[in-house]
Amino acid sequence: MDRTSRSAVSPTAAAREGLRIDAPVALSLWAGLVHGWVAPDHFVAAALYGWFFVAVAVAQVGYGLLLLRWRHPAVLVAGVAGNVAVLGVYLLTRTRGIPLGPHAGKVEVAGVLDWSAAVAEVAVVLWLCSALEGRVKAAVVNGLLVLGLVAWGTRLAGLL
Amino acid sequence: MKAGLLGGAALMLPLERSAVSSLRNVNRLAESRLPAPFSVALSAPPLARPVLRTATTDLYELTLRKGRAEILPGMMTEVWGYEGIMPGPTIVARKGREVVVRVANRLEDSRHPHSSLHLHGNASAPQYDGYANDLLRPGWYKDYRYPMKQSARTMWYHDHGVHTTGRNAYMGCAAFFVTHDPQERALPLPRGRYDVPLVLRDAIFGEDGSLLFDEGNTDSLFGDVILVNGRPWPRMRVERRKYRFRFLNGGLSRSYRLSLSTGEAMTVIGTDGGLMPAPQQTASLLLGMAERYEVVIDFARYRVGQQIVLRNISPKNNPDQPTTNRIMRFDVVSDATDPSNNVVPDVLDPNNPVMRLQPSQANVTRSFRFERRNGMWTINGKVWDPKRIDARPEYGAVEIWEFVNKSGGWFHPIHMHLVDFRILDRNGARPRNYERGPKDTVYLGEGETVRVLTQFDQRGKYMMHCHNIVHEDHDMMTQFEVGSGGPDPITTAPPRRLTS
Repeated sequence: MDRTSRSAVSPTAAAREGLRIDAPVALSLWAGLVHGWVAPDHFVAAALYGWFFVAVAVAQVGYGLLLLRWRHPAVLVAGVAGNVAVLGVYLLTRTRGIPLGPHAGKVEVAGVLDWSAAVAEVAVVLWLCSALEGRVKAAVVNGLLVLGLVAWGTRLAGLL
Repeated sequence: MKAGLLGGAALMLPLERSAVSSLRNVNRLAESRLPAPFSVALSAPPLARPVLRTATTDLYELTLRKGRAEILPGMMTEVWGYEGIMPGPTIVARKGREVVVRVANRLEDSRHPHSSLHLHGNASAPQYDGYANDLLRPGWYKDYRYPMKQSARTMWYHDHGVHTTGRNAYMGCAAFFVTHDPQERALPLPRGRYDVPLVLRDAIFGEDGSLLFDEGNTDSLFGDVILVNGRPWPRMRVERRKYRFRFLNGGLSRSYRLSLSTGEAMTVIGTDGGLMPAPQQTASLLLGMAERYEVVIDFARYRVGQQIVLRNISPKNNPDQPTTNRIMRFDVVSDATDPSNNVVPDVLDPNNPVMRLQPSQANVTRSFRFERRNGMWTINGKVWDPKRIDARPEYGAVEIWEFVNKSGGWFHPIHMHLVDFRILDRNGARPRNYERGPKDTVYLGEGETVRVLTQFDQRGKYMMHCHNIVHEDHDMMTQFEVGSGGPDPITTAPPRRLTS
């Protein structure tokens, strides 16, 4: 609770506290590093995939660095949205198949490395949600609930 | 809690496939429960019957669907196949008489998104070649038209749907397609019941008799049960005379080195593209995935009551199991009841056009490097992209294609669609004696360089790929386009929706 109340603080408060290398920062950096590590493999498959992984890696590493200093609610919400989007693509590629490009439709198999990045992203999302407060928090969490229901519903309907 | 619902979906659903695959491998049937070798009789796939015959054309209708088969005694196994059987019905055709195969995909299963039918060994038009991205989805059908202009040969038809060929073929979507021509028919080679197609493959069975497929393995799939025409290590009753066997390796990843337990030589008379110029003797035969060899074994040299085992000495990088060193057994049961067509002539097909090609006719040499790169199966550093053309031979051109495998840990049977080729050399030396016939698939062993000579005489886009189907499904595939203006493989003759 104490950490939550300290997290959604103003930039000035964060600056007062100095740089904080805590769980969301480390997890975001880890997810970014994983995406960066596997990007060359994906350039072999198609430039589109390679650049996608580079973009995700840069975004996640950049976001981790951003969290070092700046934890404004808007930053936290953006982090939730970004990580959920990446998780959505991950879920799609491991169930329905790659959505775009020359390998569209090919279902990827989950491995240790990619799954560890997904775990990190889920943890970041949960942490960011817990750091939010008030109506913003309620809206974000309810949005995630809807997305979760959609995901499970489509699975039960055999669409995922 | 609310947010965790999405997190759970994101983390659990991706693991579903891997978990199912791993669990199933845990439940594989123990070796002790496998049938004793040679305890079941060999069977032959049924012949397909045309539903319509005109003056020029035979029409066959095949339904791709699920079926159940007693592969292991006392157990029922779900198979996917043409007409719901594994192997599917054999089509026998004559040179010059058109064959149309109507394939209706009625295979409803979440693991089967699509199919595509490739007649392996045939110079099909691009739109009928089973182009990987020419998808035949459940509920659709397509007419594949084959003019049958080539010489007599042993071909096979099998699934070729992009990224799904492995499971489809493993579950049974493959069958023989044999053609004859007058020149071959004029030879006194064994025929009728003495002409026996044998498709070899391996498989893994679960405790419930199901075929286990490892979705999570992107390297290879090696089973512990060897099936011949869908029967585990069968026995075959033979007479004291010559038999013509048409060997096909229809498996995903396992290659074989075949030999007789007596150590005696077999006579190879045909390769992928039909009869060789002359027969060749060999005591062991390396059979890579998708390769076909026609072999005559003379059982007259054995006494009635003798049993001859067809053995397998696994080539490099094929994991051996205690059960994989034998294929089947021949039991000599009587003297010959039919002495006709019991000769292997010294000359078989001296005029095969591809075998008469000379390297001096080629003015282009292309090199293809098959390697694992950044964890992916690549050809010249690239993976399959249907929008990319990697070679553009001119129409009618004669070319030398060089296949290079720098790896010490992998072998790759390389299959060129459309063409027959002649193997010029293997690591600079002459090819093995039994490879000196027309081929469409060549065994590219560890660290080897193989050069082949061929002619491109049909316009359009065609694939070339590794026939380790696990590698193929993971994009070790490229395409070339012969000339320009050829029919598009996807849009020219698209599948149609089934009405009922």
